[in-house]
Amino acid sequence: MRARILAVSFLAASTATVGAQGPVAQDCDYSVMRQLPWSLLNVVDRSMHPDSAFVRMAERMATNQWSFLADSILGEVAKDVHIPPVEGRVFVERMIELRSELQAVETSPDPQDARNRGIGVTLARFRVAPGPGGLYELFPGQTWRIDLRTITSSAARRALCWRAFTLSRMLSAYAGPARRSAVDALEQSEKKWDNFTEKGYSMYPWELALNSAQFSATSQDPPRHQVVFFHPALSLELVAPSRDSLTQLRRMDAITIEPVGYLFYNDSRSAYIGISSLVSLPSNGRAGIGAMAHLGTYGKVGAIVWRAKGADGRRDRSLLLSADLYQFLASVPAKLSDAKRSALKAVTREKLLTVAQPQ
Amino acid sequence: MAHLLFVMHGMGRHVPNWSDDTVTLLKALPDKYGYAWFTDNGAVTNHVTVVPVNYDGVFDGYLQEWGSSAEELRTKAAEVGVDISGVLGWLESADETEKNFFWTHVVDVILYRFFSIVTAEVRLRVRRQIVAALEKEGQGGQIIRASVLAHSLGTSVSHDSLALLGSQPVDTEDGPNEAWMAGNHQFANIFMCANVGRVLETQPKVYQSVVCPPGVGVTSYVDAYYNFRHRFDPFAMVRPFAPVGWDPSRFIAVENCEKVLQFNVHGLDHYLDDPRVHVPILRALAGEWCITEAQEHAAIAAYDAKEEPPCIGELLAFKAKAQKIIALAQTGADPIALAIAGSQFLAAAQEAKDAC
Repeated sequence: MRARILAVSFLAASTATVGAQGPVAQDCDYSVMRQLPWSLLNVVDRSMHPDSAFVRMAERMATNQWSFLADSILGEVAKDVHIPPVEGRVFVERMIELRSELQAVETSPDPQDARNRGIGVTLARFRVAPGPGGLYELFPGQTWRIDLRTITSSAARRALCWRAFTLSRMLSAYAGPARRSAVDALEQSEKKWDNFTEKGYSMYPWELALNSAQFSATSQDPPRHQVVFFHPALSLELVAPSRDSLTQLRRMDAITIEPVGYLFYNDSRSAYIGISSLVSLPSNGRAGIGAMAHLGTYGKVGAIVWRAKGADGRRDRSLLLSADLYQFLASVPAKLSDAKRSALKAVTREKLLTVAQPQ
Repeated sequence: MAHLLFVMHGMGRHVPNWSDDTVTLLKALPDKYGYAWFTDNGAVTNHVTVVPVNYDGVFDGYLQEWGSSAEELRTKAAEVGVDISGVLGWLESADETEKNFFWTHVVDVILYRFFSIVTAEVRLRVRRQIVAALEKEGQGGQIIRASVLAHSLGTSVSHDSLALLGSQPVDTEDGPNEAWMAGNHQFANIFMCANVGRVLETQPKVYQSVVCPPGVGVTSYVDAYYNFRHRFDPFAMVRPFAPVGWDPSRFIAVENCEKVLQFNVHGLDHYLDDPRVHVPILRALAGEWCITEAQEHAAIAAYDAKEEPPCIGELLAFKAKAQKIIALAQTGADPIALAIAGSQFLAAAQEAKDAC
């Protein structure tokens, strides 16, 4: 009893939904026609219904017999007595175009490649396009578009619209691999952008402007190259009074400016290398000039090759590390020590276990 | 088959669930204005799946990295030949409210329009979000029906992103992929509220791209184009979107919105509350039959009868100021004029609200 009430309620709701629309919408609006109760459809309509037709096509779609399927529907449309002659001709012509495109792809050297890239077949050709004011058109914008409001017979409208829906579903299935492939590619590109913004060398506004000037806004992937231009940063100078006095190495904070440089990114934009010129302004006030190598997320390492003379008349040479690289290097001994300690623990535990094992 | 509605936000920062407000507003409209069909057939969300599209994180990343130094931006941008001195010259003389709106909202416009690396990243992220949802919807040979509702900067971003998607193959490992290009995919509707696409256009241009309804002479990417403009909203007035020769049966321009129910008439909520705006949108999404003509007329009458903010002095002053900002912005008619007018307008709206 409960099941019966539910069934009746569903039918009533469906009919109420459908009844609110005009006759064209009932036949040619995809979301509306799919709510038509199956029990109200005659045998022809059931056979022509895009959902049942799609199921029947499944086997041939699975074996890539696309032009065969287009041919079958073409044959049905050509023979359908409900379709007015002019509209029928327009529909058949579009179907012939589709069949030709599918055949061209099928006979091409690599049909799967064409399908995987969505080339050679116009996939959105058979859409029924609703528009403002109750407009429903097939092939909108084309010279021989079909205004479905002018077709008075419901059977004729269904013959055109439902076959258009069936073809749209078939072409949607045909497009599946290409759509997925495009999504995958855009996702990969987005990962590159993530890398570029998270792991790339930061750009100040003027650098962003400079690099933007030579980059196309229509690009899918981030830049592969990057110009460094008057880039300030905090660095550390390791100064040795002479080559023979490494034991007297001193550490100084420094502001560095890279007047110009050039970086090159890997394909995934997760790493980059490059070189830039360098002006160092250390805390002792004696400016130096040098060059800096960029090592991606590891940081930068540079050398001062010229420095203003000090009071003692010497031009101290120095090695320069970016703050992040210095932190990384400074943490290495501790990391090594930790690693050694864990390794020793593991070895000791293994020995104990081995000793404890009865022979 | 659900009808996907991609919702594109405008300027400023948005919380992850920012589109909830828009959804709540859309759902409340039938009760508010008496569209009985929705009572019998479920809320608008039963007929539409809303997909928020986010891109403000791109701007946020750069701004957080830089801090906000107008002087630095001006001098260095000038060194590399990007002329934004107009904005920054004005910014130094702007009051605090204007400055705040500049940094929280209008700087997005500057970044998007003048820095092609930012532009490309925004467009890529938007395209990825859109096709990921479309692809999911089309699985199993389903027919995809999708529309776009865009606001303010989102109109420019959505135009540019769709124009690229519709006209430029996606680079894949196998080679160029045309699956989402015009001819192979079609959007049902695009709804543009406060369209700034023309003033911010780069490539492709808004009147020459595929983001147009059928019958314009190029392969179209949308079946119907709706453009909504409020008389006191300067953002949409700097270089108004007004294409010539587009088929009026598929291009609907609504330009007679005049009511001021809140001082920020630029807000998407203010646009959507007007039946002149939401009736065509709901009809396009749920079906022409969901709102009768009589209900539409009644809704417009009810909306027009609503009282504008009670402080009449502030209201008149605000309208006069908005008109003045629009007149000045139309003289410049470029992105800089838009940025200045935008900041001034948002500040004027805030000041009027505070004073009221």
